[in-house]
Amino acid sequence: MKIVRLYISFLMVTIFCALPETSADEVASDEFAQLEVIDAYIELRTGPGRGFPVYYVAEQGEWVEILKSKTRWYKVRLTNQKMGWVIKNQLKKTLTVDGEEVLLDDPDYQEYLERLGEVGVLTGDFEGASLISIYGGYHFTKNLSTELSLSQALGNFSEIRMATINVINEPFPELQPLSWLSDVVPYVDEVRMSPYFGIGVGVMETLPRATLVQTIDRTDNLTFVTSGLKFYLTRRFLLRLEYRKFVVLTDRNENEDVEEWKLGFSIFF
Amino acid sequence: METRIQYIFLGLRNAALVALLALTQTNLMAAEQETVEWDEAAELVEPEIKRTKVDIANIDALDVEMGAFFGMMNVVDFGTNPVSGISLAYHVTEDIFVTATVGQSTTDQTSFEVITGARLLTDSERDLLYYDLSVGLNLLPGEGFIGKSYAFNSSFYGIAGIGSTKFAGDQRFTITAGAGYRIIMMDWLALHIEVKNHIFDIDILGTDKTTHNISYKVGFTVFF
Repeated sequence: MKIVRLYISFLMVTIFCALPETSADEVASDEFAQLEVIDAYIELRTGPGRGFPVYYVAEQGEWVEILKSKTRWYKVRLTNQKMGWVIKNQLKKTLTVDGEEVLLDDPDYQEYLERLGEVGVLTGDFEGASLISIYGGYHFTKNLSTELSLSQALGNFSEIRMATINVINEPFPELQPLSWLSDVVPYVDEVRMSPYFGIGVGVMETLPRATLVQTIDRTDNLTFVTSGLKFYLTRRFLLRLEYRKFVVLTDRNENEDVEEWKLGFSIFF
Repeated sequence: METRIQYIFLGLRNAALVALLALTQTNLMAAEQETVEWDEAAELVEPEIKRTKVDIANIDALDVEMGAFFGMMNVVDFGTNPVSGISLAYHVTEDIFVTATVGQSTTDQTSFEVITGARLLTDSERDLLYYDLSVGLNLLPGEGFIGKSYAFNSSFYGIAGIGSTKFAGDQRFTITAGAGYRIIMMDWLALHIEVKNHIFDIDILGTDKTTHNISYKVGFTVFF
């Protein structure tokens, strides 16, 4: 019951946080960006998606206000109070109050190369155990970045929790390994990848399964080397394949070697 | 003869021009230096025009969705019980979103326990807590109608992911797959109806058994 109450209060808080913002948006129209349509027309749809019907058209010379956005769609209001959703590409054909063109850069390969942040989820194998890993990374330069990752490996004998921090180097961030084939095979130069390697440290907690004969939990430090590939897919997406070789610094006489493979998706900012 | 004289005069004139040019240039350069010095001495005057530039990045983006859900969850052998939780999603494109969910439920006694009076699990082991990280695909975006005056944008979506379920004293690797229906009540508020299968192994009786555990739930989310 306590948890139910907690959820209800959480919901109330989120709704109350959202409410004043929305109503303020609707009232204070001066704060919205004003744009003049310079193309022949722009299409207003009933919803933020390509499948929603076009129900109104704003003609050349009309002014639109941008209220909010959802993914690549912008909710606009015309001077006659009609509201609808316009795709980003069409808004490019508008001018601001000063007569300057609106710059709406789509997340693309160039933005990928200049990205600062990256978050992702990977899954794979950690010495036979199923691995789930999330990470966040920050790029100092095109080549150098640091990453913090949290992982959980669930095996037959134990549960392992890991927190690691690493530095990685991408020596060839703009590699197009198959571009030499582009005369023969179409679209092959769209394969854009970046190999990387790095080193890191972390901590690992091992919790034996409850069904096993009682053994105690233990915490070990670890160091690792890593290598992998990042593929630029489209928009904000990356595909990432990674290998890690850990050395677990145990209290016993011998350290343990552990191998990890994982594959996942990332989004960049 | 005349041409010769003309030639000499032309030559003289050219020499004079070159000399003059060199002279003026040095003068100009000197003048330029003076100007720079003067400019540096004087304070720079900033134009006081306030530019209203449109920065698309500042527009209120509603790509993040956060909410809570309630429903029922069936755990194989352990009955069907209320489930509740919270979710966080990010809409990457109009088609694809990524989401993280945390949910909790409690479970009943198995039929075996009820009949024999034996206890397989302690009370705390009966609590079930799960998380999953999933990718969703908006499959059938459209509009739903209530009567003739209300239309709501909606979407049927498929969802699949990985996660972990803490149940019977252990964390269990879980694969989730499901489908849902999202009705956008307002730009910032949505109603979800979702059915999800949580697939994980249970080894309480000594051997691993893969179980399919279905949860169905209703939730509200807020976009911001």
